[in-house]
Amino acid sequence: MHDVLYAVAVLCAISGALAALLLVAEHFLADYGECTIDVNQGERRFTVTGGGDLLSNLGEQKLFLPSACGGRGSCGLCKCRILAGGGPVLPTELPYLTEDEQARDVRLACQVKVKRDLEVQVPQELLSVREFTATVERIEDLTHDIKLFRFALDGDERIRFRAGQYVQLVVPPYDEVREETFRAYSIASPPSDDGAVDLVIRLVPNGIVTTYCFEHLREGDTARLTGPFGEFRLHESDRECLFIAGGSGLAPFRSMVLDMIEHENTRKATFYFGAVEEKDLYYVDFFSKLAAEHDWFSYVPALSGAAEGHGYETGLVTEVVGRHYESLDNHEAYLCGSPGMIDACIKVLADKGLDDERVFYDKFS
Amino acid sequence: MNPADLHPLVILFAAITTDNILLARFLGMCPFLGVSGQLRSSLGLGAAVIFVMTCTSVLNWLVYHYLLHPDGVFGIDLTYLRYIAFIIVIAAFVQIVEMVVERVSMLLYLTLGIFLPLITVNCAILGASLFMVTREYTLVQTAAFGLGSGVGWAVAIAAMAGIREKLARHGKVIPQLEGAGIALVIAGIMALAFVGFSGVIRIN
Amino acid sequence: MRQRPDLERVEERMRPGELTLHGFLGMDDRALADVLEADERAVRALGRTHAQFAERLAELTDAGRDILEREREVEGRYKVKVRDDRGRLPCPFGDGLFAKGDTVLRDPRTGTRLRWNALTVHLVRIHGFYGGRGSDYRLEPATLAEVLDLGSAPEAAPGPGRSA
Repeated sequence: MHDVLYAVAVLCAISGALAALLLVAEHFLADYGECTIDVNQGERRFTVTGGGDLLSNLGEQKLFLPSACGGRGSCGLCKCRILAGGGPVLPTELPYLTEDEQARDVRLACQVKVKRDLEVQVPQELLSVREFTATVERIEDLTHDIKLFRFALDGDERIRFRAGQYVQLVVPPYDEVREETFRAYSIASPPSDDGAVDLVIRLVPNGIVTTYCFEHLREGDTARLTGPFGEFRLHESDRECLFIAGGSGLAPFRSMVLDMIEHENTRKATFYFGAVEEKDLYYVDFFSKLAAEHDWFSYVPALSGAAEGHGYETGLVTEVVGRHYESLDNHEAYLCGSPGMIDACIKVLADKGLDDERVFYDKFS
Repeated sequence: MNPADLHPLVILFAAITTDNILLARFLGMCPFLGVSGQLRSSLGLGAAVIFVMTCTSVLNWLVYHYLLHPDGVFGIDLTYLRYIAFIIVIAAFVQIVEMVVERVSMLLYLTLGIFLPLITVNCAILGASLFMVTREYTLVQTAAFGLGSGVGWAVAIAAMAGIREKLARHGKVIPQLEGAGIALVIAGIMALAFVGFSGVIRIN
Repeated sequence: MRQRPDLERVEERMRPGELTLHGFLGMDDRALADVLEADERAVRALGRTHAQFAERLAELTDAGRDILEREREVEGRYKVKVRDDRGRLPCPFGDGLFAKGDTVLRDPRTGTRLRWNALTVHLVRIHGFYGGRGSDYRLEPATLAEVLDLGSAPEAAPGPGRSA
């Protein structure tokens, strides 16, 4: 009988001793103490408890790096430069970094563990990226697979952005989706409408976020947005502008044109929208009305497939653009749509003599 | 043969060759069959096993002789608890090794990755400690035996991976034998080859 | 150990709701390793390689691409519609990001309908993954070989081959 007690006692003692040893080891080995993170040469500086990843730590400080995978290391968007304290590049980061990026100390923030003081460099505009909670004010059908979602920002929040930028919509877990998902959408409302964000969203088969928006989101629901992000914007000049879009690529141009009107623009601008049939068009009345009210603005839908008699120009949008101009040496072009459409447009524009430095696009990637 | 007579270096070399824990004793076969498809991952696993096997066999020697043995601290014969005690020690040790590796070199941690916790359930690790008991090795002999067994295991898995890689590239295996089938055939032939070492050095 | 832990992680990422709404495994309840092995055998038995299938799928996508995403007739036989969607999808194996946008192919001659995208083509080419049974994105190797007209087949592998 004693033997059994002894055996149990000894085993417990050994287990207990090892468990204590593990706790001690964890305390010393896994505890990294306090670390200072310096962002953009001192513009932002804060102290965090080490051990976590850089992306989350920055997020807690309201510094949002773009991320589509929530920090799981599978989207490659959370890039930043780490000038000091980052340690060696990890194999999980390599698939997303070009050689040039590696040479410039670009890292994936979600994979870098904060173990000591860090000096980080992020694109300057990210310092003004914020997180917003909003309520769905309106959902409107635009075409058979495109809807407008208007998000009213909660409280007195205001979003400051330039026409052409985008936000990341955050979708919470639902159905089989167990983690938050982020997707980027161009802002369709003008910067003056800063208490709300309009997004034009197209349903993607098997898409996590678009399915949520189309099937689960209702007016009155809450949503989260981060932003603004993006380099796509109207450049200051006197040159005549061409805006070319297809599908949901219309969004940034709605923002831009409304913004131009508010700033009493006089630059000539023409908006070409390519689609197959009349049922693929939307905001027709909206743009037609603006074109009628402002002589510097023209609206040209281009239908490739429909029969004659609808009053719109016929042909591929690239063909229609080609027909309108002999040469484009003193113009600027802004494109928003699928890579295929953009590539086709770039070619047509180049053929007409438009310098590729004067072509700006949001390539949806 | 009195184990006390064996020089540790003899034990080391024997553990790699004639007494190879995998090919002569058939311990540690699971990861051998499951992971040996590629040379790189096999070398990573082999390195981890060498480290763990050497350290745990020494640690277990200390636990056995000072805690479980009647001549030890408690004065009672608890040697029948060695199976449980050794496993607990191995599990804890692997945990600490994981933490140390993660702290010292994140790169190495990610490279070894999931192999580290897997080592806990590798029966060759427990086997080395148990052999140390039955053969009544001294501490130094145990260290040599642990190191040698680890190296032997690593050599075997690396050789197996090399053969399988080459076979995948140049050979044709009939569908019925693909995977575990051909791996066992290769293991058997390798074991036969290692039988050629027998008699060269005897440590048991 | 049913399968290697790293494949276990890949299988996790392929579940519905992780990277895409319905995931990559459909209604298949086999382990990923088994799915890969079965398709590997099927492809070998057909005397083909993953690369051949992937190349052909990519070829058909390129031929069917249209800036307005209209359905096009390709090679006088197939009806192909290629979508372009914003964003990129990560591969569940963790080796890259791929453009979104499905290609849907209809073959009036056999009545077959196939769906794939840049990511699933990469999964075929590099990882030999053709989708789980019951998935919308399942590319049955035998169907691909029969419908896609890959050109003359090299000598088939010896032994009785069975598709999964």
